[in-house]
Amino acid sequence: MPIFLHLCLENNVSPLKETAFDNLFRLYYRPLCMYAARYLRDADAVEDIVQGAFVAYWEKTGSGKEPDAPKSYLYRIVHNRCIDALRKGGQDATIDLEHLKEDVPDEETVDCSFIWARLWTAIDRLPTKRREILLLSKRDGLSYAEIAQKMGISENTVHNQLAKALQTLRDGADQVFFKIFLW
Amino acid sequence: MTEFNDKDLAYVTRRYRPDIYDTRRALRRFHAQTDTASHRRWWMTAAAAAASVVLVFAAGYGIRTWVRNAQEPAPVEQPALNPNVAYTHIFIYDNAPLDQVLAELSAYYHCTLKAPATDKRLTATFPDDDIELIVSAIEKALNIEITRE
Repeated sequence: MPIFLHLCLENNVSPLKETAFDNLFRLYYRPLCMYAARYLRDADAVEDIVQGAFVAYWEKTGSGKEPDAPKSYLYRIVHNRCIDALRKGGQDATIDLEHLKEDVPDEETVDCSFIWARLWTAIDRLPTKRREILLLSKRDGLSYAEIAQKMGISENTVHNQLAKALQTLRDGADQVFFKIFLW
Repeated sequence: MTEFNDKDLAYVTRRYRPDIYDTRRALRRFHAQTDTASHRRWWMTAAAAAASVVLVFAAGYGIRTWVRNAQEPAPVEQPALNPNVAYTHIFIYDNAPLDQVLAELSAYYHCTLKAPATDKRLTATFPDDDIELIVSAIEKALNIEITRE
């Protein structure tokens, strides 16, 4: 134990702080992605922006000026960088730029981004086939008959699988959220 | 829990792809980029491993002690034969084992009385004023030799 503490002092790090930061990252990474994905179509750009926001936050904590509200700090940076990205390559915009004039993140979208992140994680954990049926139905708007034909299964199976998938999403979103936070 | 509606589901499914927005991968990338955890990880792991080993040994030692204690029960304290002799000034023995009698007398007179190991028992009543008398009485009654130190 003393060796451990000594190494901590020598490297000028607090293991607790690092763990806290990792937890912060796990907690906010996907919601921030969901938030940015509202404005940008390109997933790589979204990931870069969110990553950049965390780097900015880390540098700020390193310089001793820790923002007292990490959530609003992170969302503000992501929001501003999204607007910058939209201004640079405006043709890729999925949303009216006029709507985005304000310099503050949209509270409603911030709240929604948490729900979206939970949904995303829950969908990510569905069995592959069930997930595909869900996506075909909800994303592509195919009917049961079309899905059944496409996947070579009966309409009844499609119905059952879809019901099960939705049930999992309803039940599981909460637990999944907990797992993200704790793992 | 917070309920989601069809709009939320449509929003997510429209953007969903299996391998993007992966938190773990992003965290690894973050550590690599900022050079935070990567070179410290090994000694943090080492410290955690050492702590675990110590914990395991401590637990093992605790269990071993516990088992040993369970195997060897602590000796039962024998109740004093005449707890109130300081007030009554009389020793009363009713079929008492000799070693217990000698132990009590030794404690009372601050000396050490010893006799050869025997399972003889004593029934007698003595006043507490003369230890010589008591010892010689026991010697005669039980036909043994008691040494006094």
